[in-house]
Amino acid sequence: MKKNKAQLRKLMELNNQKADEYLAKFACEIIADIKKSKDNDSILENLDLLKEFIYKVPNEMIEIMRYIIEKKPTSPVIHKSKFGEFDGKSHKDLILIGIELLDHIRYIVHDEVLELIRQLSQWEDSEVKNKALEVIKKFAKYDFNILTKSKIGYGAQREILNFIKQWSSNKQKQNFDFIITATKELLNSSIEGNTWKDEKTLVYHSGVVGPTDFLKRIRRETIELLFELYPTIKDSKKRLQIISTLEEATRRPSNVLYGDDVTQMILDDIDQLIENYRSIVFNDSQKMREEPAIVAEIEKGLYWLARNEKFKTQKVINLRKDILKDSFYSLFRLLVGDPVTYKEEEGWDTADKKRAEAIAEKVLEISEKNLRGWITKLNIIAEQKEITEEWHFQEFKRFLRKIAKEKSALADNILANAFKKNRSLKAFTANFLDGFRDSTEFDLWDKYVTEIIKRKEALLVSAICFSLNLAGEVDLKKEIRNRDIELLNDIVKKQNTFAFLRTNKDGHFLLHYALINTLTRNYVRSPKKIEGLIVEEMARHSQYISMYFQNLQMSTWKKWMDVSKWSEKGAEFLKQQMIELPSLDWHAQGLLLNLGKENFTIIIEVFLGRIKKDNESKKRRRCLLREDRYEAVPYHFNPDLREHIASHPCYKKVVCEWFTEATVDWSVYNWDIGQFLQRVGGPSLSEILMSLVEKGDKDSLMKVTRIMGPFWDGNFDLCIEIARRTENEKILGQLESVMYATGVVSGEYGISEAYERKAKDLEQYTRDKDPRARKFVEKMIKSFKEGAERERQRADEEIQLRKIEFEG
Amino acid sequence: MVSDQQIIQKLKTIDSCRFELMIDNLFHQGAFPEIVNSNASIEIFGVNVEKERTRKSSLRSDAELITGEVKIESSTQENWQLKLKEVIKKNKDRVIKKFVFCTNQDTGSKQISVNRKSIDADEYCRKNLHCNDCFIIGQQILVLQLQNPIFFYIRRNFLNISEDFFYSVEGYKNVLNQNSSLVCSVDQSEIERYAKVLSDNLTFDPAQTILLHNDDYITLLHTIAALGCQQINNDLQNTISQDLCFIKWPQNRVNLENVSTSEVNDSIPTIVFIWGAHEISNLSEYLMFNKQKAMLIFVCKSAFKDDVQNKIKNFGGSITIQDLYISEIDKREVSTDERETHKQKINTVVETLTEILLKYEALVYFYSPFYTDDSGVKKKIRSVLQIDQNKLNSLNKLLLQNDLASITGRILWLKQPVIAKELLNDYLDNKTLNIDDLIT
Repeated sequence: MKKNKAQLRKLMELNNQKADEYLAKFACEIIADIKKSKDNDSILENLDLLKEFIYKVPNEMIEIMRYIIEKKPTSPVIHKSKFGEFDGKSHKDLILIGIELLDHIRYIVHDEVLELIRQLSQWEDSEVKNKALEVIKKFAKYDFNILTKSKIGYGAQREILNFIKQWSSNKQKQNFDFIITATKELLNSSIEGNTWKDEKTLVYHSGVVGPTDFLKRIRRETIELLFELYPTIKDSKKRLQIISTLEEATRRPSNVLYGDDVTQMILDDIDQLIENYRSIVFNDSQKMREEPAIVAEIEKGLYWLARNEKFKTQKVINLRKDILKDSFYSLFRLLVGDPVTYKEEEGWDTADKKRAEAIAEKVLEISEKNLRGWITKLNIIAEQKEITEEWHFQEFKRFLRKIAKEKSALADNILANAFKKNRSLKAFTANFLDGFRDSTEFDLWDKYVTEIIKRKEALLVSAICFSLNLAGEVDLKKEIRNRDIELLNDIVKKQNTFAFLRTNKDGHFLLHYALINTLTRNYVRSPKKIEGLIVEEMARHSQYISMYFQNLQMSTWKKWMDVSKWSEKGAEFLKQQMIELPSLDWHAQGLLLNLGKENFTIIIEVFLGRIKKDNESKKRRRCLLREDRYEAVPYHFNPDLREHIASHPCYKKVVCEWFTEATVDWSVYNWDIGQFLQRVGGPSLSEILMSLVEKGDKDSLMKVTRIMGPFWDGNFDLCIEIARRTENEKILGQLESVMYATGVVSGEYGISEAYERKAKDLEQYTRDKDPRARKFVEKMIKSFKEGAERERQRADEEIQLRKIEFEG
Repeated sequence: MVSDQQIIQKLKTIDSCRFELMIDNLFHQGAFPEIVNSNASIEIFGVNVEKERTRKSSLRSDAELITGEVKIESSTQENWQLKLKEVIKKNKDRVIKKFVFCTNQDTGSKQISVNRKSIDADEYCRKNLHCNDCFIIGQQILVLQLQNPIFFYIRRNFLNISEDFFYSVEGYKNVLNQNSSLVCSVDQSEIERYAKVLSDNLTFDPAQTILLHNDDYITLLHTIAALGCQQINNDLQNTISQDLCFIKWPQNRVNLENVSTSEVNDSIPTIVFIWGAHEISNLSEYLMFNKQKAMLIFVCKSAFKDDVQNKIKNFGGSITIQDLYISEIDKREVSTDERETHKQKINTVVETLTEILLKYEALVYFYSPFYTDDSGVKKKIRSVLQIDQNKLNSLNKLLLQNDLASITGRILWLKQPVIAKELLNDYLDNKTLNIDDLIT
């Protein structure tokens, strides 16, 4: 089945009957071959060939795709190569490529493609599902090229809408994601697309849809479809998605140049939306019936419409007014939501002040008498956390904390109810505990700690930790009791009353995040003990090591803790952890700097340790696909750490000692050292390596060329110095490859020009006193000149290829 | 302007035989008066009397030349120090007054390593050969001599440097062979015969200026080349007795202001061939090479003879131009039948060529991007068109010459791919080309 892809493509482009017959015959051979295939790789090769002329054989592709979907998945074949083993293609890979191919023929055999894509959009695998949804998105999209250069017009949009509308209500529910993806595009009023003007100019087009009756009908029917679907959906999150999709109909085109006809089309659609929104939000007796989070989404849309003079219709104003009139919704809006849309005509400060006053008023309002009603309301609001993003709940959390602080007894009742009936407010326990500590109601705080322990809920333990993380300037000796420290001790060690935490070996991220935060916050309360607890916590959960380092560094920055004052044992632990870290991120480097400010050795030991670890692990395993990524020397070096290392008087001496273990052959060790020297800077790479060059023996010179590797700074002095000292072909060969490194170049002739510059820069050495150097330089100049010419030719060929491809 | 580097590059690649001949010529022409006078009596060129070597042994990497008690050795061996030590050892017990060692290598500071000690090479020769005058002539000294206008003709004849204003015979021959518009279909033996006739009719006389012309201009050009070759072969074992130099063609594009008359030597008989004279506008300017020992030969097609004469006389002075016509070249009479056959042959060739060229264009489109070094595709095209590689090369040339295609790097690309696409479609439709045969 070996065929040349370019030639198949050429046959397709000919639009010749004979060529088409040939391709159809060949596609049949591909089908037969695929059905005979025993492994996925050969199927993929066939699909790869088919891709070149797929427009000519869409039905054959549909047949192949049906076969692939239905066939029993075959496990990937393991291929062995001299670099190691690697997996062949999986059944999923075939599906993904198949989706790509279906995308190409979406306008040719639309019904068949849409049906297959519909099936694939229901797959559990998110990659397959998302890729299928991408095809739907592209199908429904108002594409510049389709609208301006084909006769399809809005036919594709009509097609996909008809495709959805023919489904039963049940089928529509099953294909919810398909519908949302398609309708969002159908309601868009912008046109996008790009075209190649010539072989090097890509033009992006954006425009506005033409509001023809045909298009208006599509939009109208799309809105109707979504409103018909809405009441059949039980899941609030999905209903919220429908509302967000409908909002697309109210959005103006991204291109501001649009006419009144477009405005009128959007206004008509807004009218239709308002009518339907009203029946969603209110029941027949005008009582609010929808979830507050969904109403909030509708209200937010109305808020933005009301701020635009063109779209501020009376219907918009009235509906918003009616929504805001609802007392429970106004409470919800006060406590939950985006501060931006809370602001009306007034400024930020006034809005904030007004909100704070209203919240304080509400706290005052709570009493024994109305407590039952408040409990219901607060729990309904808490339930919305399932639908609304958590950051919307900032005011609600403050409100709960305020109640716990100012009306502790009532708060006790509210929380007790939540615990007893396992209600949504339980998720806000931390805010109640904060309030209890604010009012030094330690008994209440202890009561709920006991409750949490009794219930053995690991996630609620994080609430305990968070509430021990006191904000502001407080006297920790006074505010944090010995009992609290013991509690943290038990949580870290998962012992005594917190022994239940052992059942979950992996732990919960939130709990360990809260724990490390609280430990570092309370470090000054009992430095020695807490140092031990931090070490133990880190040792127990190495999977969170990056997060721990981030927190340690943050606490150092906040001056909660100074790691340089840690015990020798503690510092040694941190050092080892830093060696184990897959990559030393910004925070870990900051921490290392703090740790090594008075002890330079520790910094050097961490880097040497990392380099050795990298060398050992990569020596042991050589696999094509490595998942355990380990970066011995960080690519993004913390400038303060770099400055500290580079300017340290011992740096050059210490680094020179590393060379003893460098190898004459290529090694990870050499590579990492080269990288370290280049990233740290300070005494130049050349200056440090000169100490090795000066030894002059074959091995030392070879090591230098290995270390210079890809990190060579472009300075020829060191290279010529090596050339003066040897005629060894291996060393000079390695040196040549080092000198060929160009770094980043730009422009079509970038590499060629870089070589020409190198040849020119080398000219100064042609009069070198040493004949060996002169000989080497002459050879290199010649080589660079030839290389420049070759590269120029390659670039010209590339340009010409693009031209040929563009012109056909 | 020829740079030192260009001479060095050429010296590096010169073969030992040519190197030896060049050295001999330099000595004979007085390039090294401190060693031997010009026209000194030198042993027969290329023959080592002692070892009875002849030119047959020219492949050896070194050679030597003896003149009386002067010993001259030349070598192209890369390790010149080793070679020097070898020849010193060989000549140790002989009576030598002057010893010369010539090498095409860079001798640098002339230091050689003996018993791990670095010593001066001249000193080493003196000590070991017990003679007063020892000379090491290396690359740098040779460059100096070859840049001397007096020896330009030696440089031209042995190194063939493209920046020299004149071609040597060899350079001229290369131009004829490489230019498709100068291809000659006349049998080589026939050309050799014409060259003999030309040689008989051409007597060197610097007082004369010659206008050499024929109707069959291309054959005439090849005849001149054959004449040059014959002369070189005669000179092979001798010093250069006559310099033949050919202008670069077409010289009408060159401004002669920057060209030095010293390109033509005053002391050695020189024939300057100004060929393509009918295409040169500033023809009379070439008279500046009409020096004491030079004879100018203007070469053109007979049809332009008068025009050329007028252009030569354009300088304002008076000049006598001798007409030279080799009748043998144009003499061959052709019968009517033969002419008709020839005409038909041409028509067939043109038709076949047109058809095959169109097919080739269609195939270049089909296999685009067409890499000229893609042997697989070329093989495929050859088999589809049933032609050989030479034919394919000539089709490429035709596409390029007729502005139907162009070359960027290795890619041959069509100027009008749309037409090629239509051609390909037609060929597929009328089954001239079969897809199964095209697909690799």
